[in-house]
Amino acid sequence: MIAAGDHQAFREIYDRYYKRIYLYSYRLLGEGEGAKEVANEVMLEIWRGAKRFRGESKPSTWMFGIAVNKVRKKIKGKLPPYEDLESVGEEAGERSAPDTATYQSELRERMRTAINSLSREHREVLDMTYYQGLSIKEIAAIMGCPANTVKTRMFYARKRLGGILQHMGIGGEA
Amino acid sequence: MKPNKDTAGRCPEGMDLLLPWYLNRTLEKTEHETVKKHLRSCSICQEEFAAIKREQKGYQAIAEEVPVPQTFPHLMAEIEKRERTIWGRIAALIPRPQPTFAAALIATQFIVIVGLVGLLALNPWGAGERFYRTLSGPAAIESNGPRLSILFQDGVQEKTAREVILEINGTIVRGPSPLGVYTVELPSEMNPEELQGVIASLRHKGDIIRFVEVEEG
Repeated sequence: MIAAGDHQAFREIYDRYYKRIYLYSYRLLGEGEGAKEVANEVMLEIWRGAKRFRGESKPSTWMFGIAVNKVRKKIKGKLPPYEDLESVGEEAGERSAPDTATYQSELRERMRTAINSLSREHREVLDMTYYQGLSIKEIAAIMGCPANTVKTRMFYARKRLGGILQHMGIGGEA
Repeated sequence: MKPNKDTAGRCPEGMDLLLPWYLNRTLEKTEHETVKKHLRSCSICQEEFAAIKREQKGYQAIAEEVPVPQTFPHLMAEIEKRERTIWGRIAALIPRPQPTFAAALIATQFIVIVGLVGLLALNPWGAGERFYRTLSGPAAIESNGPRLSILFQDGVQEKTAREVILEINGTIVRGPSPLGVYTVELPSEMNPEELQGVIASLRHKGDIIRFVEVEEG
């Protein structure tokens, strides 16, 4: 439908995927302006490229494939996303104790900090699994790697995330 | 599997690697059932699964907090702006992709048309000669059969003249002259007796043919 230039069909795709793509970009890039830019570029690419889409994969896989590539390009032009583990720990140590009223929000903030300190590949696989709800096969297609790599990458992403959270004094509990 | 520093805590059967996708329910049905069954008896996987559930919950909680901008009007304006450019208009003229069946049909039609045009151009069976033969074709002019000069009666229709020439298996090689004389060539294998027979039969058609003679030379 979009391939035929149907604006209404495009609106439906926008309503269905824009938020997911924006949030994915946001979590990977860590800032809203870049995420908005990427999400808009992805939507324009979907509009322009719909005629090239051959239906060999699910539309969502195709769209996230575009998003992943655009985010990767964007990240390339920025400083490395890794944060120094020591500084993460120090920062966490300054935070309030679990018995305060803002404990939950502190916990979320720490979680966010921990995720931001992961590598791009680890953030990608965590996001696609935990938030996007994609299958191993879909993630492998989007990331362009074998299914086994997806499984081990997820394992190490979780392991590293747990380690960071532990370092922050919250023992992997989110 | 021998545990080491890196793999410690992992399920010996490696099932823990599948747990995140067991949770998001995207495993194949058989795989899902295998993990489900395994979870009942593996304490390592039970612990891992509980941790994964916590992680996912925490992950989704922080993800949902971010406000999402509404950019659809801006996107549509951008699309319309691009389509208004010359290239955009040209691109709009290019037909959009067809469904696979329609595309296959168009491709088949194209191949058939090209094939037929090629066939007509090459004419491998001499189809024109076989199905449509003129009474004054160049092939006949090259032969060496006996030739007759024939003058038809006034008022004889072309159709009748044609029937007479076809009857004797002749080919017009010249004519009609200003006086209405046709030069008709007969098959080269015709012997003198047969030729005389043909001439006699033609002369017998007095109401159609005014005269008939063997062309000299």
